[in-house]
Amino acid sequence: MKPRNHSQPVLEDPRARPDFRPEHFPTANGKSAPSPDGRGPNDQKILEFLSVYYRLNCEHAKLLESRGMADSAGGPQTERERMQAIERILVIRDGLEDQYAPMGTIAEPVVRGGFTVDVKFTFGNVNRAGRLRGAAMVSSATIPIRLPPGVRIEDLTLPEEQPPVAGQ
Amino acid sequence: MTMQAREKLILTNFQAPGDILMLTAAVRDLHKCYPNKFATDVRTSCAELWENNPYLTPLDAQNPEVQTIECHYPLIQASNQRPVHFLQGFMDYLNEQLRLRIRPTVFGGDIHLSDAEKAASSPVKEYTGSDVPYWIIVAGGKYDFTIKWWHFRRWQAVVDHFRGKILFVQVGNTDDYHPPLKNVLDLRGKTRLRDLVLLTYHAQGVLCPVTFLMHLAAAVECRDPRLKARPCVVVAGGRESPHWEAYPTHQFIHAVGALPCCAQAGCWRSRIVPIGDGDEKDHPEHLCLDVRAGMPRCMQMITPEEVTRRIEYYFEGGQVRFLAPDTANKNLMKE
Repeated sequence: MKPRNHSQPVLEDPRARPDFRPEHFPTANGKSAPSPDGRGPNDQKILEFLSVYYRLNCEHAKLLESRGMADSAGGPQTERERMQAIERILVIRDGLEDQYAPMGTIAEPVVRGGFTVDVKFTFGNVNRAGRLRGAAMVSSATIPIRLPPGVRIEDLTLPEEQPPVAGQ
Repeated sequence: MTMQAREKLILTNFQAPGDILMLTAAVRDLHKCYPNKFATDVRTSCAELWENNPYLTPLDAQNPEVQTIECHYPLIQASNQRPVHFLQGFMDYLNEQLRLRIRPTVFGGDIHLSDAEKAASSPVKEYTGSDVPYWIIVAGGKYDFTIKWWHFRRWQAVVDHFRGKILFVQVGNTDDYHPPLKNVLDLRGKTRLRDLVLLTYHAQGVLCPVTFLMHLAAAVECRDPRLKARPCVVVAGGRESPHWEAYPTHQFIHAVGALPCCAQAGCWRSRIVPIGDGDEKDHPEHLCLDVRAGMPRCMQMITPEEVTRRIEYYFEGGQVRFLAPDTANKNLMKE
């Protein structure tokens, strides 16, 4: 497979187009899509998949529209062309899935009434909280300890923190 | 020997479930090889794997008579040269630590089900309404070792080949990589560890990469008493040396010996390509040397046809049967 330049989306971001139909642009994990110049580690992948599913939704809308038209001599031909257009986009979608599979990317569409309304993304590099999977986790807790009756903290001698000693 | 006279051990390990399953074998065989000599307790990451275990005795780590041993399996470092199995990993370590001669007595881990668990109905019945036979399928894995992954379209091809003949139940942790498959009963993210044990108990077979499920398939007894060993097909590739991982009754599909990168033993590399998670496994020395179509070459060489043929071995041999036609005609699987 020819390597892609990930500095540019494979597909043009449709949101800048004058004929953009926002109702066909899915959300990503239930949230709005990243901006076109998003710099998150997976923003370009998200935009590529959303662009593909947007195009699928538009073609599906056209297919439904053509089916709703009055019968004409070109009816079956129009339907065939619409189906072929959808087929071509599905091939592109499959290509994206194959390209990103080794990195652990999953883009699972949520479909309602034949339209993709949301895409659930999972990435190999970050977990659901957006934290790098390989990064060490740090957590801290404050634990209050009740002093025995009659004891005041001012009367306690607490050990002072010593600087680290080389070799230990 | 009285309890007081027995040597008291607490064995600890907090690795993955597959590793803990190997520890169950070590505990079993410690007691079988040295009956009544030890009292053992464990502290592990997978308490559910130790339920109903007859070889455990509650021990207090603060008791000065109790020795706590953090368990490892350095034997794996010799697995490319010596004919040893994963099951021997912790046994070998305990032999060294305690100057013993533990030997494996059973070719598998040691999982025990209660009578109540065995009497309970199949967990799949809750979803299908009837007690149909099924195979568990794992179509992904953890992110640390992506080199173990087979392409999701190939798993799908196998599922589609057996549509109407085998009900596949897909499992997987939602924190790991488990792409959705069509025409399966999707239990991804719906099973805790003990649920997996029970799901395996009722399973007719298991289809998976080198992962916990293959070891569980060998460790859990079969619900059907006529089935002496649970069918299991493992898509292994060339990462691990076959003798380290494979069980005698499994179809362990590997490429060791067929490629320059695993010419004599497993390659033990970690990832197909860097995934950018900050882990050192993205470094070149951990990456696959021969990637084809997004897969390690060894995995790419394993075709869906090969896997389906190996599954069919068990049916052709009469060990298991396909779904009955009237069962297959019901809509058991989600579209």
